[in-house]
Amino acid sequence: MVEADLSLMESEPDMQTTLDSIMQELIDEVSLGLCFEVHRSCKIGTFFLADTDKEKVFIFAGLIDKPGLDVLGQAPTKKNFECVCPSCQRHLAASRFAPHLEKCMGMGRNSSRIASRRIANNTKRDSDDSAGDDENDNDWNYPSENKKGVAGHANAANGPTSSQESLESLPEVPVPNYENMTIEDRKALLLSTCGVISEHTKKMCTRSVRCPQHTDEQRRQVRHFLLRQNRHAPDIEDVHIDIDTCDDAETQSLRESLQWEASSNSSPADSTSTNNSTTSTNKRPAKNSKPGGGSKNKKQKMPSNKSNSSASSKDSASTSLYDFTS
Amino acid sequence: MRATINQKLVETGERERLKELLRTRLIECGWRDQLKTHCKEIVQNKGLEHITVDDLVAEITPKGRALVPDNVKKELLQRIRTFLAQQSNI
Repeated sequence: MVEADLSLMESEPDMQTTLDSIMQELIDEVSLGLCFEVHRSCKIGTFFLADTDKEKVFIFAGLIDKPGLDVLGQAPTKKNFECVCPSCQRHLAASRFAPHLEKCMGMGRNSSRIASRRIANNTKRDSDDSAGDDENDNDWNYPSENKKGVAGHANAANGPTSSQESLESLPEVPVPNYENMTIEDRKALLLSTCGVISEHTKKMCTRSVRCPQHTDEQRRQVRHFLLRQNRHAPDIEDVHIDIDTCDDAETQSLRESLQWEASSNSSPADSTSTNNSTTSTNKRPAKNSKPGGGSKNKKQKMPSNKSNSSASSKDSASTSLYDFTS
Repeated sequence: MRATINQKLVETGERERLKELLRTRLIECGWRDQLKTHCKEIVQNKGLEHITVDDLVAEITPKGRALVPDNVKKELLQRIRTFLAQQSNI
């Protein structure tokens, strides 16, 4: 201690150099630490990682930093994304995809009904195809013909099903427009036009008799349906009025109408349709007796009606059968 | 004499404290960043693969000594003096 004190006291400039050297030593140690650090980062490969600034990166990678452009120098373009409908395999704009799916798969309120009906009809049609029905071939080919127009694809998709629906739901669906027409008007109309009643619009097809949208089978069914309705009216009247006097006249008119209708009908009829016509004509009196079954008067008259007109109705049926097939 | 002072500094742990103080002061005043940029120049000149610690030390040490600010040097000297004074007093 004393020595140190003495040395401190004795040689101030010497002391200064000593302290300087100590300080230099410390500084050297710190810089040596830095050297080690730099060398280590050099060998590891992390030395130049920190000094890659933004501009250098952009120059190196050929990227661009301009307002309104992305890093590749391309203006952002509005892209039209297309979706493929899983149900009908059509390509649709993404914005139209959800509404299309609603209709195609039946997610909406109304569309679900339509879609479920369509599915049911498809299955029915499949079974028909397996049965080997020639009539359905027209139906089947129809959409492919109409698919050329992209805009009308919805109609094309609905086309066969709607016509199919009109076929099946014909007896139940009332035809308001043609209900009021007279027999002659209907005949004239059916002579000139196709006349198949659409399921959606409840209107008749106004195209020619050979219109490709509907099959002969459909046309035949419509004619059956409309003319059966015609024949309904006199039969119903039959029940109410005195039959003994009116029966002959009625059957006569009926026969005339049937002949007229059959001669005007250009479409070829097959055996099933004639069978249907005969069965329907045979069944009709029994059907008509049901609503009027409450009163005694009508009940009493029914047997006489049957017995009297059985021969004549059979006669008319046979003539109609003959005329239909001609 | 210098050896005795050094010995005292090491024994008491004052040397480590002084070194730590110096390091922080040098980082604060930007000495370290200056030296590091200088290191980069050296490395780029020599090549990343061929650089050695000896090259770096040879280049950095004189520059490091020169670049230390005077106020840091003064503070460090003052710390050593006060330490020695405390030691002599005891």
